[in-house]
Amino acid sequence: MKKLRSFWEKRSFLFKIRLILGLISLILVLLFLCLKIVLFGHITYSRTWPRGLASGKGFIYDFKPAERIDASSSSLRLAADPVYFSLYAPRAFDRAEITVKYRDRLATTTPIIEIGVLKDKLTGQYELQPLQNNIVDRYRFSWPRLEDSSDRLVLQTEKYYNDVSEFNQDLKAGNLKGCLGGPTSCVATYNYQLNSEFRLPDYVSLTPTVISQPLRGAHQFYVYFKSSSWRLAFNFVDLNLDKEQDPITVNVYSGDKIIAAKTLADNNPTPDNGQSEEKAITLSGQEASGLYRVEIKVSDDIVISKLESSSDKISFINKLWPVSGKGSLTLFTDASYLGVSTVNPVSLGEVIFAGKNFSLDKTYKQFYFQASSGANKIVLDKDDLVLENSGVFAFSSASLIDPGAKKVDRYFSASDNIKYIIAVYERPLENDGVKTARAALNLRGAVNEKNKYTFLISIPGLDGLAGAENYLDIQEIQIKLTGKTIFEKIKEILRK
Amino acid sequence: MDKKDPINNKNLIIRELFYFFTILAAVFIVMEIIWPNIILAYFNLNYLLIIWLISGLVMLFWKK
Repeated sequence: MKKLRSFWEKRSFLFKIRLILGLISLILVLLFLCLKIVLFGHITYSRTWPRGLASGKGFIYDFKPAERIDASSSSLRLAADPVYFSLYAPRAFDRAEITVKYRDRLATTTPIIEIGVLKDKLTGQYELQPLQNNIVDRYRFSWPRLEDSSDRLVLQTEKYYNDVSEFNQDLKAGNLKGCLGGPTSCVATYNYQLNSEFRLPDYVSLTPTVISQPLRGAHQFYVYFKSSSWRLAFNFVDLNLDKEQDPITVNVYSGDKIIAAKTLADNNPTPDNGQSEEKAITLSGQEASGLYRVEIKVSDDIVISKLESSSDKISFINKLWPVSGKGSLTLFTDASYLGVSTVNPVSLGEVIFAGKNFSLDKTYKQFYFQASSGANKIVLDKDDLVLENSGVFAFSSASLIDPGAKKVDRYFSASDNIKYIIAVYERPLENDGVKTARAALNLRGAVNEKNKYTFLISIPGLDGLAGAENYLDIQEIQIKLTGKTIFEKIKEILRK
Repeated sequence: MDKKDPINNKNLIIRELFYFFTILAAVFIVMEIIWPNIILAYFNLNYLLIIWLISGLVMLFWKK
């Protein structure tokens, strides 16, 4: 100590002041570097409204589109669905735990709030997790609860079961009490995957199918094979409307496992003549029996011009975008509602859904039409319409296959068939009118562009513009990111 | 502090503070160029540049 004091006293005033200021600079630089590296692998970023004294750009920013939000008041007001925002993360993380504090001024027609992260830039696919589902919460307090844990919520219309393990056993065996047609006929799910084997024992594959109706952009469909060999052939047209690369990937899944896949790279994103290009992919295999999910990962610059399959049981999952300009088209869906939108003014007009005429009179707006449950017919005068719902679409009623259980979406009503609801969802806590909801998102495989993750807040059905009566007032968004510590990273590098 | 010459010391502090803010601003800007948003996410660099400018003006006009 004495040595230090004598050292200090011997030094000039200039040296002392430079040493102090130099140390301050070094501490500041090291502090920012530590915040960049995130030494211990976890960090929490938050954004509050109003922002207070915060001067930096912040980590949670870029809320858009501007016409759907209003940040001029003491909160962030969301008036339409969906709203996107960015999260600046100094490095890659594995998981995000999100806490949202909000005042709910939503109508009963918009009972669901979800938050998601962009998983695929090409197809614009988001992984969504629930923040609020008022329908599940309503049944939570009116139906007997078999299980109510952070892992799972199981509700039943009557006290069929008193023991969760007995229920799990029967669910696994596909033999639930009160369900004659198997679990998918009587279980409604929310954010839960029902693992039940889908079989069509009486199905006889007649002739190979050719779907020559062009479909634009990414699509997914179920196909049922019952033969020793199978074949899927796709013809594509790359419109070359933009200068981006448009790779084409087709994956065939059995459950969660990919059994066949093929990718076509786009080596010529901007052809000299600017014309469209034709491309083709064929996939085939042996000894396929059962239900398969086919994922066509393409951008909106690609049109699937023709699809050939060795099976005629083909149902498109959740979305269908028919394009051709040829006109009239008949489709079938198993959902009780239909979401329709278009960016093409020529496509505006009438849509006949379940025998009722609905008018589509605005571009860039999602219209929802409701009907009764069961297979519903869709008649379109003009195509180039994006059709969406929580069910499947097919070109004939006989082709409709949906192995999934009924979803507890905003059109859900517990019919006589529904005996159970299984959900993975924690309801928000409410204090003085402010709700606090939590969701966890897997960031592995999420799109991270220049240290930026893209998030989405979805309130299906909320279509008002800023200033509308129904809205969501967000007061705080907090995101806790967790990933590898710097020591784990170093170990990983050394192992390589 | 050197008690013998307080005016000279004051000038020295003002000059050193100006150097300090100059170096700090330069380092922060370089860091921001290398790793975008590393500083701006937390702190608006405009404030640092204003302080740097003020310290420079004070240094120019304070000299006695």
